[in-house]
Amino acid sequence: MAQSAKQPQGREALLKSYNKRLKDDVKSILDNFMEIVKLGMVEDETQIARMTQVEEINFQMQVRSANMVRAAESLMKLVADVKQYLILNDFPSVNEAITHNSTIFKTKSLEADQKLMALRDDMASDLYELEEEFYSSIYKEK
Amino acid sequence: MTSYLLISPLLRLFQPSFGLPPESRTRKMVFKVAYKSQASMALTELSKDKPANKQVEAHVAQFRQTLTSVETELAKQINYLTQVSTGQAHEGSSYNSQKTLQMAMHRLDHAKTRVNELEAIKNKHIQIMQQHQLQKQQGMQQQPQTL
Repeated sequence: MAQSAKQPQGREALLKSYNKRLKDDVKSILDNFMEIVKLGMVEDETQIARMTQVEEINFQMQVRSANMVRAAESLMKLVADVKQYLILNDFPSVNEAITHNSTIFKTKSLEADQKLMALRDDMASDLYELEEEFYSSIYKEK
Repeated sequence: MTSYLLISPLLRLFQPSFGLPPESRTRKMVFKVAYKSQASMALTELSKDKPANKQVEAHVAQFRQTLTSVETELAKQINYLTQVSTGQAHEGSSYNSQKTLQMAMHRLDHAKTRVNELEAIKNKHIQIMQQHQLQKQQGMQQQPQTL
């Protein structure tokens, strides 16, 4: 009972964490991209030397682009986790897949049995004729 | 004034590996990625000597829209999971019907083996009969020669 009470909490916490990760990653991608675009603004009057400013912009761009890549990788990891969770816990689709497979297996076994019955009927009719032929020939005495 | 942005590392970032292929009908995760991604196009346009501001804004708006749609789709899936998941393991299986099919295939194989045996017996008897007929013919040919 304690375990079943803990499970919903674990499940809810997990799904909340998925939501949080999603929001954080998307926000990170968007914010970093907008900052990168803002770096394109050229200021004529600066308090620091031009080369220093260039270096600063370059470094900032590298860091922000690395942040975007990290957020994108994290998002892809999240998608993989959600896919895994869906496969394991999406009962309607699992039920549908099981029902579908069961239907296919039952149909195929029915077909196999029908073919077997047809073969039996054909062989029975052929055997009837062969028996007639055999029992009215000289070979039955041997 | 030329901008001092270094675009090439960023352009490498937003390659098609950013996206994923769409999933099945019930579990649809959609990452919409154009051949040239929208982010790289926006930055390419911005890096030109005379950037077309409208183009840049259009690409940035497209990028934001794509990101928003990705977020919406994922949130939908997570919301669906909160409604549907129970935390318990699914213990259903299709083993019953699978075993039935396996047994039906086994029956078919058995019938096939027996029919093949019957055919082998038939072929053997046909060979014996052909040999008898050959011997008879040879015997009949020898008799007129002796006469």
